[in-house]
Parts: sequence; structure tokens; C-alpha cells
Amino acid sequence: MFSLARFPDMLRAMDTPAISTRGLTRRFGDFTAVDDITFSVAAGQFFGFLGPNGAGKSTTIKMMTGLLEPTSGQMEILGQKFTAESLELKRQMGVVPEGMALLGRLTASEYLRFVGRMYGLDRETTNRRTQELLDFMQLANEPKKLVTDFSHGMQKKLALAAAVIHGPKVLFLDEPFEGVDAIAAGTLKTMLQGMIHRGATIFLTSHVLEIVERLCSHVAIIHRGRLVANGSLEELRAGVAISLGESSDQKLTLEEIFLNVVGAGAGEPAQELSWL
Amino acid sequence: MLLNSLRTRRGNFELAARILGGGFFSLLGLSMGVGLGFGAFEFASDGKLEFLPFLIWPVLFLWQLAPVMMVSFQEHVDLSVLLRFPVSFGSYLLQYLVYGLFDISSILGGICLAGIWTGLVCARPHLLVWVTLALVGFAAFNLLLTRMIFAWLDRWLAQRRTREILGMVFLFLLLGAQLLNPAYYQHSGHRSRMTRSATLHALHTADRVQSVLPPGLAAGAIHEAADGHEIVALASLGGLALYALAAGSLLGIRLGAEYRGESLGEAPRRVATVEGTRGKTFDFAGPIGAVVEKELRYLSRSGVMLYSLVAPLIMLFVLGRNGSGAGFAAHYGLPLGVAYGFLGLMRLVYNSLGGEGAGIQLYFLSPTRFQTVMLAKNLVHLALFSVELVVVCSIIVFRFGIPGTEILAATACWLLFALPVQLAAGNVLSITMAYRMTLTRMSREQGSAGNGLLSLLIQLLVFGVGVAVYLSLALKGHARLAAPVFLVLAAGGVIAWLRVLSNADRMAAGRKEALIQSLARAA
Repeated sequence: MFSLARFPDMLRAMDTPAISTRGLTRRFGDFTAVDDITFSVAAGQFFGFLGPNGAGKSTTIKMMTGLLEPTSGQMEILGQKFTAESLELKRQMGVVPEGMALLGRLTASEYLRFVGRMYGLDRETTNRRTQELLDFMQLANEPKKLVTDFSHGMQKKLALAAAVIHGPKVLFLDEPFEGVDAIAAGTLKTMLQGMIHRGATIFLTSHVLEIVERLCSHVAIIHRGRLVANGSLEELRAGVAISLGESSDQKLTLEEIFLNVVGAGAGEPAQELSWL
Repeated sequence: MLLNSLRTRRGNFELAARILGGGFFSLLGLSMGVGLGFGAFEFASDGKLEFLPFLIWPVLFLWQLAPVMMVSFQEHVDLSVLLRFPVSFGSYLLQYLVYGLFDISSILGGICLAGIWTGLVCARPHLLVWVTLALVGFAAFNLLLTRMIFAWLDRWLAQRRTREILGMVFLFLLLGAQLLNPAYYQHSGHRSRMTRSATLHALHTADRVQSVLPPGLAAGAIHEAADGHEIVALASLGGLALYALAAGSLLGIRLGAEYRGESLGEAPRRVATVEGTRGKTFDFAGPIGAVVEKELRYLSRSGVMLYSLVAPLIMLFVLGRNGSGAGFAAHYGLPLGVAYGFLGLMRLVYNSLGGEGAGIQLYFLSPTRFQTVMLAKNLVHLALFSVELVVVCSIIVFRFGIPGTEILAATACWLLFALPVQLAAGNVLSITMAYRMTLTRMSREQGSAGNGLLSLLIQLLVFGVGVAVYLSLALKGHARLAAPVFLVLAAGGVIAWLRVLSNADRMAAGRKEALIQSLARAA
């Protein structure tokens, strides 16, 4: 029942970002993979995290999901400080990590049931959701096939199914569309958009800029471990247009924004491979 | 790569363990080689070359069985990755064989054959060419045979159907052996009545059979050459070459299929119906049940792990009667058998995370504590050990009768001490020194010498404590006190296990990155 007494709390919850980092840094010996990153993602946002190869995307997502300890800095998920020991927060999070975290010697349904139970779902709910997810992801036709024998695209779909089986509020996806065919990518996009409509927050890294442009409302770009851009697509477009001296009415693509922000093509002449 | 691996403490320990293990195996090989060399020298000097098979057969067994027994101590290179490059089939086959030369079994077998060669040539220098031909041929046969066996085992273990058939064949062999042996010993009372001629007849038959098998042919070639029957010696060498050719052909067929790009994955089969909630193995919900169920599924799909479990039982059954007097075996058979039974669980307990692969990340992502995961794994280990224990006890009772009350009580109480200690140590090593296990391939296991060596030392230590306590009390006539002493030690063991479990999350968090890096890397 609605109560006016709860109004301030509700307002506060709406203001609280779903994800926020402050000074997040990770060093490997002398090499700084992620350098003092601070940003926040509002609840219900589809957030794209972009960067060239080796920029620090996966390292950042690993720190934010507890797979890697940060050298310094802090993270908050759903308004609470997140550490690797935050079990209750982990219950609200779904993750498709870089290595997909699949158990190769199980079948798809065995794996989903295993994950469901590891996230504390009861057996009945786990079985029902497993069946629904297998049907939705078109993985139900291979009931006896082991995960290790799945194609890369099928494994990605299964990893995504496992990440959402417990109905997370915050979803972290590291390259979910890599190796996925156009049909499957369409299925995944539909599912992810559905989750956003229901109020979930999605943090996504991808090299496929068209997908990010179509799905994400906000984008951050990391380059050589440092955050070089952060904002809504419109804000980034306006910023880049100003720096290029063009009219902000001109609709720049995300690819153009990305190339401009990370400075590709400038300064370093491409070496010619005369022998090719 | 070597310098890179030495940057970590584990890398240094791994190197030290390899040097130690290498030293041990070199010493073992050298002592066997010297022993066999002296034996060969004696036989050749005394003109008793007909006994040569007694030296060559053990080399065959060593060469073929050692790869399985020492799988934790050696690292195998998956040469199929070379197939991405434009290598010819000949060079692929050659590299497969060359890598086989560096297996511990090949090195040990080679040293043994070198010992026999030295002994024979020292005693009969004029046989140099024949001895060299026969022993080199025998070595080539062994190398081809062991590579062929592993290549085919990998093939059969790679697919569910063939894996199940292999598992059933293995089970029937085990059961057959169990029934055959008691049936034989049931008649042991009548053996004295067995006529001498019947025994001689049986020995002659055995000799005839072995003489047409590779070790017999190798020994026969040398023996016949020494007697001046060069034609027969040549025929024996020809027979040996035929065996080598057969093994090589079978290996060639297997590698040829691999070279042509054969996929060892499960054959895709489209089935209209979907596996729903059928096939419930366990009904206890929650993460513990999930991990237990997953572990049992993994185990049932891993021929290698199943083999590791039953291999000590087979060895116990086969070797149980040999080597010791009946009185000693009847008295100490149970504790020795139980201690030996632990070997079957060694890799499961001491590298319990090794089979997870990239799935290890799930344990860090999910809201399940690591101690829950380790507890569930330990429950599986306990269940498996209980089954092993029942089989071991059955074998012991069947063979030697029911043991005395004192030794029975002492063994039971020692078990209460040994089990939690093994589980505690296993959990620590599983988290701190995990290595990736390929669960369906025998010849491509990536072992960890450090883990293997430490787990063996802990096994010896736990067994040593049992022996020391029991014998020291028994010598003073207080063997009955062994059980209470073990119970006190058991309390310490349980405390250690609980402590390790409660620290599992902290340990795993400290080793998180190394664990993910070593287990989740691409196979």
C-alpha cells in the first residue's frame, strides 16, 4: 500500500545510482590497467562501456563483479558498498564474464539448474525458468549435448541465460554479442530490452558499436586505462561536434564519436605492408 | 616461459618439485636399470639366457602402466594444436612419437633396457648387434604401443556412448577379476595335491604363449642368436617388428583421423522432446545439493577419474596376496588396504577444483560461500571413500578373513583421524595449488608436480603416524591403546578440517586471480 511516510525513501532510491565507482584503479606490477575511474550508472539505464583492445574494459568489469580485487578505489552497487564478500548484493547481480564461467561437462539444462540453485532459487522455480530460458534461447533442441561441444554462439547464449536465471537487478555483460549470429543477436537484444523495460540496469561492453548505439542510452569510453568520455549519446555527439567545429545538429555515429575520442588515426601513421 | 614461471612462489615450488620428482624417478630408473643389468649379466654369463623373459616382461609392464600411475607428475603437450598449421602427417606422427620419448615411462623403460643391454653386452660382447637390434625393436614397440593405447583411449573417452561402453567393459573386467581370483584361491587347499607334471605342463603352456609375444620374441631373438640359430633369431626379430608395425598402424589410423580434422565432440542429435525435470538424482535443494549433483555428473562423465578411483582397488586385489606372508597380510591387510584405497581419491581430493575450467568464476560470482562449495565436494569425497572402503573391506575379508578386534578398532579409529586430515589438506592444496584437469583425456593431462608431490607426502605422513602409533604401542604390549590414541588424534583432525573449511573463503579470495588464471585458461 502506498504510504506518504515512505516517500522520502522512494525518492532517495530513485536518485541512488545502480552502479557507481570512485577512483577505481588496478595495477599489475608497474602496468596500470585501470587508472582512477569514476562514473555512475543510473537505475534502469542501458550503459555501454567501450574502448579499444587492451583499454581496460574487462579488467573494470571484473573488478565490479568481484572477480578481481581493485588496487584502490571503491564500488557501490544498488547504493551499497560492493566487495567480493557482498553475498546479498551478488544475489541481485547477473554476470556474463569474459570467460563465460561455463561448466563444460554439463548439459545446458543441467548447467542452468546448477546456477539457479547456486543463486538460491528453489528447485521448482529453477526447473521452470530453465525450461523457459532454453526455449527462448533456442537451446532446447540439444538436450544431451554437453556445453563443451556447443558452438561459441550457443555458449554465449547459455552464459546469458545463466546470468539472468535468478532475475538480477543489475546485469554485467562482457562482450555478449561476440561470435553470436544475427538471429541470436536479435533474440538477445529483445531479451535485454525487455529487462530494461522492467527496471533492470545493464552494463555492457562490446566491440560492435552498432549494437551499443542501438541499445544503450549512455556510453563511457575507456582508453589506456583512463575514462576519456562519459555521458548520454546526445551529450557525446554534441561534445565531439564542438571539438570538430561542426554543427551539433549533425548526427554523428557512435563509431565516429569513438574514433574521435580515442584518437585513432591521428599522430601515428599506419605502417604500409608492402609485401601484402 | 621458464623465467616467467619463476616469478611466482608457486612457480619456484613447481620447479623444485620437478627437480625432486625427476631426481626420484632417475634414482628409481637407475636402480632398476642396474638391477636388471646385473641380472642380465648373470644370466648371460651362466648361459641361462632362457630366463631372459623374466627381465624383459617387467619392463613391458613398467612402460605401459607407469603413464597412468604417474599422471600427476608429468605434463603432456596437446599436439593437436599443431594441426592449425600446415604440418604434414609424417611430421605430426613423428612429433607425437618424439614427445612420447620424454614420458617418464619411456625414460624409465629406456633406462631399464639400457641396463639389460649393458649386462648382456658385457657378458657376451659378440652378441652386440643382436642384443641392440632386439632391445631397440622392443623399445620401439613399447613406445608405439603406449602412444597407441592412449590415443585410442582418448578417442573412446571423448564421446559419451563409447565412454559408457568403455566404462562397462572396465567394470566387467573388474568384476571378472574379483570373481576369478577367489575362485582360484578357493582351491588353494587342493594345490598341494596338484601333480608336478600338471604344474610343469601349465608352465610350458605359459612359456609357449609368452614366446610369441613381444617380450618373449625379444628375449628369444637374443637367446637363439647366442645359440647360433641366426635364422630363428631373425624370425623372432621379424615377429617383433610385425607387432611394432601393428601398433604403429593402429596409432597411424587414430592420428590420421585426428589429422583429417575429426571432431571428438558429442555427435549432435536433434531430439524433439526436451529434457525437463526428469532425471532428478537428488532431492536436496540449495547450493550443497547442486554442487554434489554436479560433482557426481562430472565424475560419471570422466573415464580418467573413474579409472583413478578403481585402479588402486585392482592393484590391491592383484597384489594383495603377493609379497607378504599370509600371517602378516591377514593381520595388517585391512590397514594397508584402506591406506592404499586412499590413493584412488588422491587427485579428486587434492585437486578438487581442477575440473571446473572456466566454471570456477561462477563460484566467485554467485552468492554461495566457497566453504559451502568445498563442504559439498568433501561430502562427495566421503561418499566415494565409503564405497571404496566397502570394496576394500570386502576384498580383505574375502581374502584373509575377518581381522582381529584390535587391528579392526585401531584401523577404524585411524580412519577417523586420516579422513578429516586428508580432506583438510586436500582443501588447502585444491585452493592454493590447483591445476587444470582435462577430465576426458588420459594422455593430455596437465599435472602439477608440486601438488602431486605434496599430496603424496601428506598421504605418507598420515599413514606414517598410524604405523608409528600402532607399532610403538604394540611393541610394548599395549596395542589396545592405539584406538583411543587415534580417537584423540581424530579430534585434532576434525578441528583442522573445520578450521580449513571456515577459512576457505579467505583462502579462495587470496588465490582468486591465480585460480581463475590457471583453471579458466583455454585448454
